[in-house]
Amino acid sequence: MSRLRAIRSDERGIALTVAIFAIVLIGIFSAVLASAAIRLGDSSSADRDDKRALQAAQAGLSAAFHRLNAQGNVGLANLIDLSQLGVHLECIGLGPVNRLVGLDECPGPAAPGVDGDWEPAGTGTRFRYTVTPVLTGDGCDSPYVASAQDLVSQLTGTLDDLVVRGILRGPANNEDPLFLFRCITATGETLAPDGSVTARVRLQERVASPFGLVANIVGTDEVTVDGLGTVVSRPLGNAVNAAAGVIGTNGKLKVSNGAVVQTDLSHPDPSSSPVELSSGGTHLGQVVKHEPAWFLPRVSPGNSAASNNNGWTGCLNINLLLVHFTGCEYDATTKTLLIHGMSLAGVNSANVVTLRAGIHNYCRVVIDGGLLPTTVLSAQSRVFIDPDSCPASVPAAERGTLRINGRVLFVELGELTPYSGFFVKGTPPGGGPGVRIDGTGIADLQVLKASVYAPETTIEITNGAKVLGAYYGKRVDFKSGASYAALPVLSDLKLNLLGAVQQEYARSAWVQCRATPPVAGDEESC
Amino acid sequence: MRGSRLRALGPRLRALGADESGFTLIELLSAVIVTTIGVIALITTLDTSRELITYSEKREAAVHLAERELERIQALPYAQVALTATPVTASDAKDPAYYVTGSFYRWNQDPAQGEPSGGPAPRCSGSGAPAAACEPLVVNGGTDVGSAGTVDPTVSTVAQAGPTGGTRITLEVQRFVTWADDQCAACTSPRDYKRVTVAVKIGGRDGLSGIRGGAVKPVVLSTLVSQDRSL
Repeated sequence: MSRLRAIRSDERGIALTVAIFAIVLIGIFSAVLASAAIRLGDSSSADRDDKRALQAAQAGLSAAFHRLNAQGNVGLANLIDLSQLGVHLECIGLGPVNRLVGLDECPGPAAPGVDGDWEPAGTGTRFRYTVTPVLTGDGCDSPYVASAQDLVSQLTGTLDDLVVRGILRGPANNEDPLFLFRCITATGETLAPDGSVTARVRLQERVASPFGLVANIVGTDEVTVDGLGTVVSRPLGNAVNAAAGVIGTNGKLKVSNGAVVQTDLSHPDPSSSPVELSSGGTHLGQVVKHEPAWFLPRVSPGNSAASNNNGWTGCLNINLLLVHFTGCEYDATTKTLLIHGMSLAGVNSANVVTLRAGIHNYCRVVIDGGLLPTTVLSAQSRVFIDPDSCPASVPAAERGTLRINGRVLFVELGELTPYSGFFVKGTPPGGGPGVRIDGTGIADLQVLKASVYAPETTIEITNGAKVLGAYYGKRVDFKSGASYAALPVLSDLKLNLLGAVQQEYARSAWVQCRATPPVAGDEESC
Repeated sequence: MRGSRLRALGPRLRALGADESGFTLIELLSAVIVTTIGVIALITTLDTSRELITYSEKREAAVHLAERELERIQALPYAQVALTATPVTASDAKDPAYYVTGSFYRWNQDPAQGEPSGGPAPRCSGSGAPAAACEPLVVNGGTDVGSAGTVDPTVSTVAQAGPTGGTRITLEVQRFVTWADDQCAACTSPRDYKRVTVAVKIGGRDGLSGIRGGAVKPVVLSTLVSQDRSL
């Protein structure tokens, strides 16, 4: 007992012991701190590499876009052989995929480019990408391939030999895919010292159908034809396929007061007696079934701010080339385009405006034929009219409106250029029709040959206006001696909707992986 | 005899063990030496860790700044993605502007074919060789460039104040825009799209230096901007 007490009271070496113990504690603390610092350093390095890889992937998307567009007409419905571009098709788990041209199976990689399939994207980074064929379905993860036959039949041929299906159908022809898209998946890689970092960007550009001709007239809620002399007809002597229909609606077709409709009605439920005749209205045609119900996607201007801004800067800078002076005015404060055909009628008997190819964006558009015809030459121009972009100074009833009055003749620049299209977003906040085509006071011909797409508002064609082309609206109302005649050739009606209607340019979630993939080049392991 | 000696040794050893004279000093000296070594090691570790953490933080800030700047330029209308003037060449190989040669910029600083690896890549020649790594700058007034370019080629400095005043983080941003010539079969223009490169040099209270005064590589982000934004 006394020995134990002696040991306890013996303090020799305690200072050293405490010092060593303190050093051990300090060492542990230092190790933890150093470890944390190293981890932070690794983290910042990884962040840098991630960002560089992501930007390389983004560069891949840009390259893919550019190359696809460099092919010329490469809209979603275009039939191109991507292998000519050195681009891979990606089967994305579908098994065999029909390409739109030629081959029946998803091909293997194209001829190797720089560094195998990869292309340099800057110091220590590189990218590659894949492009799918035109797809339908729910999205990149659950697609199926659009039928090439469907695409072809939608875009070529004539009313004589084609069924005008309206909306592109799925393979079984009884589905409603509604959307067409390609998926472009770009992979960027940073070659970091401790292994590569991969970033993937998937872009799904989606365009809602209708992407071509739907029917000549679609009013999703209703179509009315009212008033003596008001006629909606197929071209005389044209053997239109009986199932095609020239008028489409989900509601009623109302024909009244001596008006005449000489064409079929395409309707999702023919048994509901969708045609209403009153006061001498006449319908000469059948009601044919259309499945699914008519659907007109909303207009979404602003997908490309750069190109949509064309219209904001002034009349001469909106790609309007004044061949002869016509009284074209662009009011930048109200974002209004006014084209008058009467102001300098004596200067030239043909007042002509050329709508050059491109995208124009306005709050409202007024085209006034006046005393002499105003001829508007079109060349793949797309005019967007957007009430949301209107300044407060524009009266509510005039926001987002298209008004065409008097003698306005739309013609095309050669046979190869489709007509211009007017795309009206929403409906005027002040009420009333978004589109009015008015032939008041004009004794002779007024022909509007352009196409009008206004899915959320009313298109009113009235007072003897004579129109050709394609008209898509929530309602379409023909009144007071207006007339409409379908064009005999389908390609004449080709509304340049591709890439214009509800186009989504969506970048999906991207995945990035740290360190070297287990299998070299196998980014699927990410 | 032997037994009596042994018996005498016990008390002597006990006495020696109980004698603590001088021991405290030796022990204390040993403890101080050990503690000093430990503290020096700790301070060194702490200092290195602090530098590493600070550097990581700076690099993180540089990456985010570079990304922000790149996204900003990408969001510009295509015509505005051009330099307002030709950047000035730098003599320091660690400076991103070192790779400016006249109207060319070496966007890819990896060794090109036939070039030695290691060390800074050679600058572009006056005619823009090697073509695989050098591209003409997109500058207002140049071919296919109007005067709409808004990208500033001069070095801009972003500084962040520390909690106790003074500049804690200094970042120097430089921007380069070059014409990319796509070799795809359908791409006939020598100016297919624009390559935007943003380089951010890291600085701070200690100037533009890294850990232990070492050289700091700038953070470089690069991407392509195409006029075609939809199919």
